[in-house]
Amino acid sequence: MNLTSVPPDAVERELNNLWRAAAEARRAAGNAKPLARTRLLTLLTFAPDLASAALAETIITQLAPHQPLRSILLVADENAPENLEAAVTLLGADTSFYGEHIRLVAHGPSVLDLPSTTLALLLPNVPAFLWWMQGNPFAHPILEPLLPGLERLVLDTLALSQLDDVTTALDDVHFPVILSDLSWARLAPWRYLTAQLFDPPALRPQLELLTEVHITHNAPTPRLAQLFASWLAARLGWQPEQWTGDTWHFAKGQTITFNAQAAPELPASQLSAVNLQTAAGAAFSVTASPNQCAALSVTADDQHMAAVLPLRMDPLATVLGHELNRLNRSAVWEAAVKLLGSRD
Amino acid sequence: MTSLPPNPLREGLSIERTPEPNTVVIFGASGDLTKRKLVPALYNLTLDRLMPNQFAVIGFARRPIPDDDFRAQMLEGINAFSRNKPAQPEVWESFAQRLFYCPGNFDEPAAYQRLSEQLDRLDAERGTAGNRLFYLATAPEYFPVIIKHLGEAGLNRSPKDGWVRLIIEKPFGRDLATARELNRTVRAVFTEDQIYRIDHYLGKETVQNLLVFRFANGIFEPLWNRNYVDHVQITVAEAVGVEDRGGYYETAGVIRDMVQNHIFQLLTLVGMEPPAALDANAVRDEKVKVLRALRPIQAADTGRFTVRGQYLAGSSGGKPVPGYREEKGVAKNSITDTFVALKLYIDNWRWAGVPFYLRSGKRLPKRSTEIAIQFKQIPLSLFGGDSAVEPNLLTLNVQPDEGIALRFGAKVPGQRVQVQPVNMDFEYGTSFGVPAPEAYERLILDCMLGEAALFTRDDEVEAAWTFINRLLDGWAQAGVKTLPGYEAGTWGPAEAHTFIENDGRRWRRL
Repeated sequence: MNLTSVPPDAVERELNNLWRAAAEARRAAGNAKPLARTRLLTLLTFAPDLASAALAETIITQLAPHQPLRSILLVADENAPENLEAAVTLLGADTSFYGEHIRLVAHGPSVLDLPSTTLALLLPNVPAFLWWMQGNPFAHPILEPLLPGLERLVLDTLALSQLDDVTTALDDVHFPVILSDLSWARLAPWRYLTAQLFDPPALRPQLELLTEVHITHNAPTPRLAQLFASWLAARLGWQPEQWTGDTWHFAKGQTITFNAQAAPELPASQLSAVNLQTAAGAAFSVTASPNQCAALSVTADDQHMAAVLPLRMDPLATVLGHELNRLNRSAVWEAAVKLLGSRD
Repeated sequence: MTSLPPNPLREGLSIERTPEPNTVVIFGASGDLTKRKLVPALYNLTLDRLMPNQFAVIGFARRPIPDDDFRAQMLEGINAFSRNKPAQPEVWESFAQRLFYCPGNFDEPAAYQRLSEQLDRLDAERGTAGNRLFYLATAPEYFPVIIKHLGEAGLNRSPKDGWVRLIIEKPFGRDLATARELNRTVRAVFTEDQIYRIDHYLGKETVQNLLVFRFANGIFEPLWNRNYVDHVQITVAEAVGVEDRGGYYETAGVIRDMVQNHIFQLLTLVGMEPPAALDANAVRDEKVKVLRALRPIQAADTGRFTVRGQYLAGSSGGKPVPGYREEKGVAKNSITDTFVALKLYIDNWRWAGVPFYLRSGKRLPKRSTEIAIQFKQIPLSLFGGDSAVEPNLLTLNVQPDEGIALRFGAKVPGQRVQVQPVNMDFEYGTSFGVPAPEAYERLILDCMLGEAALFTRDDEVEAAWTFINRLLDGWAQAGVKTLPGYEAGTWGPAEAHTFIENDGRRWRRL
């Protein structure tokens, strides 16, 4: 990104200058169509360091053509003398612009100045989202002052060692924003394909007969697989009892077992297979294969069905984009994360 | 049909419901529609995880070919015409195993017996559960014989506790009498709730958005009437000529090809009252009311309320193109219209006195479908001089770039008060990063789900034909020997411009 440094209190003025310059350049180039300044939302991103900030700007650049926006990147650079720096740019170039980007870098203790500076930059009349890139947002002092300006907080439960703060926020009727989870969004293809196994009316009763689930993953931690398991258990009404090693036990004898298995041919830190079985031997499975496909298999009541369907592991920009289209709470996710949190 | 609780794993997914297992039988499987639209639609639905795993397609056509040849042809179609191409190898292999072929003549009882046996086999081997969707993708003259034989073979009822549905392609009849006859024929074998008369315009995003736009926004509906609207223009313009369909077009003309179906669908969605609910019959009830309220055009008035034309040689896309009478399959002295402009009135409290100008034609300068609602001019302009105070205009672009635009006046920056019209644009393509599904994908899926709102009901078809029939009779009585010509690549005959300019208005420049 080619940003222009400005004093923090001159951000709006400089953005207006940039838009005006872009419009004039377009007219000078003979393009009669006026420049449209489209911003469907404000996206705040909190990056804990400069390296994360660079990644964030890559993601925002990929996201903007699909979601024209005002992006405000909040960067905490703790190891520097106190100072708050701002820089701005337009997103896009030449014939098409998809919004604008503001980078606020807070050095040292000036990180506490970020909320007041940011709140003044939120666009009226469009939703505002905060994407917390890493770590626990609830432990950070800038979260609470930002909350009144937001509609949704997007975090990643995979990056949290404990879920207590998340479940507390979910249970707090006064918590002012809706929570979103990128790990949950990453699991969407697996949830769809697993659900699809039980769509045929003849197979739906098998859901009540499931006794064993085996989830294989290739991640260093089982958290993503555990979140999937929690979803399944919550949807099926399974009551958790205890954990022994890699197995989660439920009240009526059901078990969910987690297997970590290297799978270099598949994307990293993902599920690789889900197998579900009943006591009578009916078996249902979704197994990832290379080329972003999954093999579905059902063996039940002397019938066997197999199919291959896409298993799209969307890039982070796409996953984030899906979350920015959501304005309502996800009761299904909340139930799953509370069930998983009860284990912690 | 047994009612089961919904799949609990689907709750919270954006696709909360997929169709039950079923088999789609396509009559006319060797035709263009199957290869270009229908099978690619089913493939894309599979890619989007919208199809059940227990699913099969049987192509039914005359030529005896093995299943593998049919599959190869369909793969060609996907690779050429699908919105997702080329076909993903692993997904295609799995999808192809669900494609089958049944050779037979449409009037051959034994062919339907073979089809029935094949369907039963698929139910047993593939779990398709006795749910069948028959798609009539043939020329209309074969509809009655196919329907008759489906009934005689017992294929109009599911052998299990399933459903059977029938999709019929347009045109549904070529006049009121044939439409009524076809309705009688099909209802003798199928019940109305089994019948899905398709008009693919209803599957387009912007057309569906018309209902959302009108009834999810409180600010527009109070203005959507005779008190604020000056007139409405609906344009369906094609840049192509009749190509190799001259023989068909000679029997149809633009009125049957476009007006009776596509344009009237747009007209009813613009003119309808808010439905009591969003279910199929509530919506279609309101659409039928619009058609019944159309003021008939008497024979003596066809000259005042209609203009017809026929394209002459000209230029399209920078290349010379022949005139209509020089096209293959067209008579040298043909008086088939390739262009029509109509002025209609909907005689009800909402629209009394508001003209609806409709136009459609082939070999116009560009392909464009648009609905334009022009509001009344302000009662008194306070801004003279260089100000261009134009009435507000709301346009809904159906194709090529689906979107909605609102024109309003704004002050030009500067010392003087100078007003200039500006556009506020919403374009599907740039506002939502998700590509819209093709119309056939939406419609086939809806039929599998049993949702009929986007399909035409029998009374709707007959009400449209009632109006059109009177118009056709009026034109026949006028006994014209020639039609006004227009050069290919222009916006229709001069008479079409005079027609609207006499009312102090102008056609929109698209």
